[in-house]
Amino acid sequence: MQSIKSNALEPTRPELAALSPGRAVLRLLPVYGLPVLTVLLIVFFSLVLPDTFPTWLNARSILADKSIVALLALAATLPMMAGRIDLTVGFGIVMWHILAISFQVKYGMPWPLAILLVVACAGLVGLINGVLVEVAQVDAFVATLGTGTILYALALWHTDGRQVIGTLPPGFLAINSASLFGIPIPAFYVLGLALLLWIVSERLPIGRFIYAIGANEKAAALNGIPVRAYVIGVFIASGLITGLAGCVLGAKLRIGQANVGLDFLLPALVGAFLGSTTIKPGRVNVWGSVFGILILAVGISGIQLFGGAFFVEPLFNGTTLVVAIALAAFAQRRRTVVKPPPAGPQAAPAPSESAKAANAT
Amino acid sequence: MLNDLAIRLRQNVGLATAVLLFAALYLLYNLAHPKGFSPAVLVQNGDEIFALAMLAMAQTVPVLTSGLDLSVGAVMTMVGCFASYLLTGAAGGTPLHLDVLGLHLGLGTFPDGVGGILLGTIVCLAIGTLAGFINGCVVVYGRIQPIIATLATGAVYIGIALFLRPTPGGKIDEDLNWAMTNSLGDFASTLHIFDDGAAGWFAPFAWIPVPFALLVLIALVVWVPFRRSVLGRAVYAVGSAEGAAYMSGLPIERAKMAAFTLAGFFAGCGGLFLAIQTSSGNADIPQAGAYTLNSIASVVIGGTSLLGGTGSAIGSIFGAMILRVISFFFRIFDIAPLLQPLFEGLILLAAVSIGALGVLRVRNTLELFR
Repeated sequence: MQSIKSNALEPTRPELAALSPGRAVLRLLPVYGLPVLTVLLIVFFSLVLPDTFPTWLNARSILADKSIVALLALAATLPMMAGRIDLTVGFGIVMWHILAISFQVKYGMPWPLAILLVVACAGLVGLINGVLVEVAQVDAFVATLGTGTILYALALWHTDGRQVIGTLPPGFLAINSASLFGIPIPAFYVLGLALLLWIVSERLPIGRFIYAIGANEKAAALNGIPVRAYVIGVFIASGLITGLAGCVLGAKLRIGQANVGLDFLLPALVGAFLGSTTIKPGRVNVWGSVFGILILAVGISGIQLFGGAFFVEPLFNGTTLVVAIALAAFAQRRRTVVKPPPAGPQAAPAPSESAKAANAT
Repeated sequence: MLNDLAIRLRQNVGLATAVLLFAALYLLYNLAHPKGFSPAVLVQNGDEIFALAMLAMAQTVPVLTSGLDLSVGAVMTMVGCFASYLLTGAAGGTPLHLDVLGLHLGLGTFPDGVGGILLGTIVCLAIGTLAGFINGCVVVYGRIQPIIATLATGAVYIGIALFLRPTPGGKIDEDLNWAMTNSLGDFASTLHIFDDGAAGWFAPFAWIPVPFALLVLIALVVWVPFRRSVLGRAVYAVGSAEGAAYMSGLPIERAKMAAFTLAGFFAGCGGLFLAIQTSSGNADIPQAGAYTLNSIASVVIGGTSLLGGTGSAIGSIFGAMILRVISFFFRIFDIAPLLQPLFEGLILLAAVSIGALGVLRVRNTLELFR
């Protein structure tokens, strides 16, 4: 069952070709507004806080801190493309980071096996979600809320409410703490995953199919797209990514604790929703989600360096989301108002013919 | 007549299931409880149920229009934080001031005494209603999907709550706390009405817990009239077929606004009671999230369809009570309390799966898509 509607607002190629270069830039500005705004924010904070903001240390801390949220946002983006919401990204990461650690500490598994097992379990939960949503036709929000709550309970039960502590092999810790060219390695996971998902969602037929399901399920099914298989597939993919994110979080925290709780769910969803206002406005999309997380990270980091209190973070998340979506919707509406009516001899007979067709049927 | 009853039962099968399940669970709980069926147990349960029941009612109204409200927990938390400043009952009134951006603004003194408490209650409920109204405006005039809009406004409300109460604190008038969280008899004796609650005619009601009385009162005074008004019917119509409702000339925009505003009011009631009950304000983000998600679970268990158009707030109250009674069981039976969410999740999945049984009867897969 659909939980989120998708309505494409991006300019089409013929529409852009018809505009003069100046107006085309104006038309494209809201589309790339979020990345532009991110750059502006970076410039602004760099000018205002030249000693603390534009430093290597700050950049590294932003990338290291927000990479896991970005991975989760990507995990949430996939089902959203098909019009489904997946809340297990937030609950699951609690379970998976605990399991990744306790497989090694309690059961003495080598770390690659632990990661493999965690990711496999996460994929299995994704499969269960997909079956609940698509075969049992349960609303995605409620189905994933149910499985998520159960996962969370299992995590609490497994840890007995305590922290899972133990010495972890350096190889496992390296999946978070290593750096490449001086940049923390989790940032590369995000980059790599985003590239992969971008190719799949924008450049392969699969991606078209998933977006088609999100736009109109019935039409997609009538066109021979195997809706059920693809929806179950996106849930499995989302589960696998959540499992990976859980392993990275485990390597970062070095302890497993269930009270990580829902800290990750809302930021991930906010990032994905924010992403739906940019690049491909009106639809969730891969780079949009990445930029959504990035602008929140930059904004909050800057405000905190200013000395803003910690309550600023939720305020900033919420306000940015409302403003970004309202602006995107406003830009779309203004365009439809300004656009001249399709006058001319060809346009006139078209409605009457469709009316005739409607009468005939 | 009998036929009529059968139709009514079939239309309210979700509500009937919820009521029966609750009755069975609660009976079992009282039988197993060493002090079962006593007013003390009832009062305690009432206090624990009220906030979630109000949030479940709050969630129901937007869900009836087929939109989720992810901000109910945040509104509850924010109103609770306001209440912890406005309902202190301190003698001589409470001085209010605002420290923001290095400015120190005095906002005068909030009155004390009974007048102050009444005014504080009204202000708190008004804040909740205003928050709901803002949600409605964002959804209707911003034309943003409810789930996104309320996720965003909810984050803003949590930010305001954190601004008000960076650490848990504040205070609620002791008399108010006592009067609201005990039986009607204690309520009357605290207010010195009905011969301090000893009046002869009052005796049969004196054992009823105040939260239950309030729940019935709010349901009868706010929900039932709303449901029967044009706006209430429009809310149902919007949820079942928005296009048809528009064509029929129903006030769609006003119905949506009313749905979110009412949700804000109900959530405000829940937040106010939670603050009174805990005698403090606490901007607890995980708690706000848990309440929001539980409210959605309550709505589903109470037989309201997430697609909108069918169900009622009364069912959601029973859904909330079922969720709460499950948690009571962990106290009297020796089950690891950490497993509580597991049973909540299983009940939720069972409830939605029962609703999904109709899928088995569908012959043409295309009928599944709406």
